[in-house]
Amino acid sequence: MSSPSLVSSMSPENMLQNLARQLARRGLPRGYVRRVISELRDHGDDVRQESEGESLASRLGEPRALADEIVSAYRKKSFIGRHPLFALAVGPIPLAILIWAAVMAGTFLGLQWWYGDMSGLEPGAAFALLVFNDVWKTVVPFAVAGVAAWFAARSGHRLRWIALPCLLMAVWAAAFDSGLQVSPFPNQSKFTVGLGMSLFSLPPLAACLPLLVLAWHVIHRAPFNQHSEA
Amino acid sequence: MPRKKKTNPDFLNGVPELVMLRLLSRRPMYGYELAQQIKLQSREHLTFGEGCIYPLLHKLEEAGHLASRREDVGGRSRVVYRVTPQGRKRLAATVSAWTQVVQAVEWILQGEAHVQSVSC
Repeated sequence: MSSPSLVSSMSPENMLQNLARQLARRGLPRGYVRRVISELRDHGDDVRQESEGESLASRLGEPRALADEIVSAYRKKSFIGRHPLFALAVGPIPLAILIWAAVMAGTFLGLQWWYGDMSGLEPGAAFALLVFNDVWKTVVPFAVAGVAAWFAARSGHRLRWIALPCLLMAVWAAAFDSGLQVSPFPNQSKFTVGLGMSLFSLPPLAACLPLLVLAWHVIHRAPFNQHSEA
Repeated sequence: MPRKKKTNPDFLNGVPELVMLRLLSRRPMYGYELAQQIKLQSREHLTFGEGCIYPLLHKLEEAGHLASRREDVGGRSRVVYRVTPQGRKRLAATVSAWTQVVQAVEWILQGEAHVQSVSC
């Protein structure tokens, strides 16, 4: 944190760099940080032309307060920015359940249309249903984590808000299980859904993919520096 | 059950937006110029960290009320903001809302003075 006296003695370029780092650390997208800094630099040039001795911070505002203002205005622009708790903590699991139920229903209807009667599952239909079941169990948490993390990043949230839906989806994917018990007799096949997690088994691929989304965001959120701003 | 009243956040928060849209509706300006005009035309009664105008300009631009373009002004490249037709509609609505708020506050102040004069 910079003290006011330290801020007023900073060179304008150092002050802008400090502000850029604060904005990036708080999660604002780099493109937007570049835009704000570029306009503030223009502003600073005008201030210098108008009054040579005046510090930029005394005109623009102290970097921390200015960063607060910029971040707050940026987050207010989107629903996820305004309501991160609802959108990124409460929403992902119900959303994943709804999407999974919808795609499974769609898959079942699609197979019914393709194979005709599904009451006595023929081997082809049963195999297709098992494959799609595994695909959706893997893809849905990955997609929900990816979309939620992308929106969180776009809304200017810190990394912890991006991590939250990814971790929730990883846990959900590890715990959620659905399967098909195929019977050769009509109407005897069962589709089962449940939750359960073993501490001693390796996490399934479905649980690893949301963590990969998180890893991608961690890697792409390197500190903002002079080089990246240029 | 009484109908839930809508809150009016613009009562407190909409003033900078109103001021910016009004000034930019007269002519396009870049950020520094706009900050100077706010100070000048408010006779320095509205003082603020000048950096704060940029997030508001960006918000208005994203809402479609302003458009911006980098242009050469006075031999330097600057981002110039202008009000869009949608922004002019927004300005008209905000001016109308602000006028009503000012009128309402005026009535309250006059009423208070009237009550005081009667009780004395």
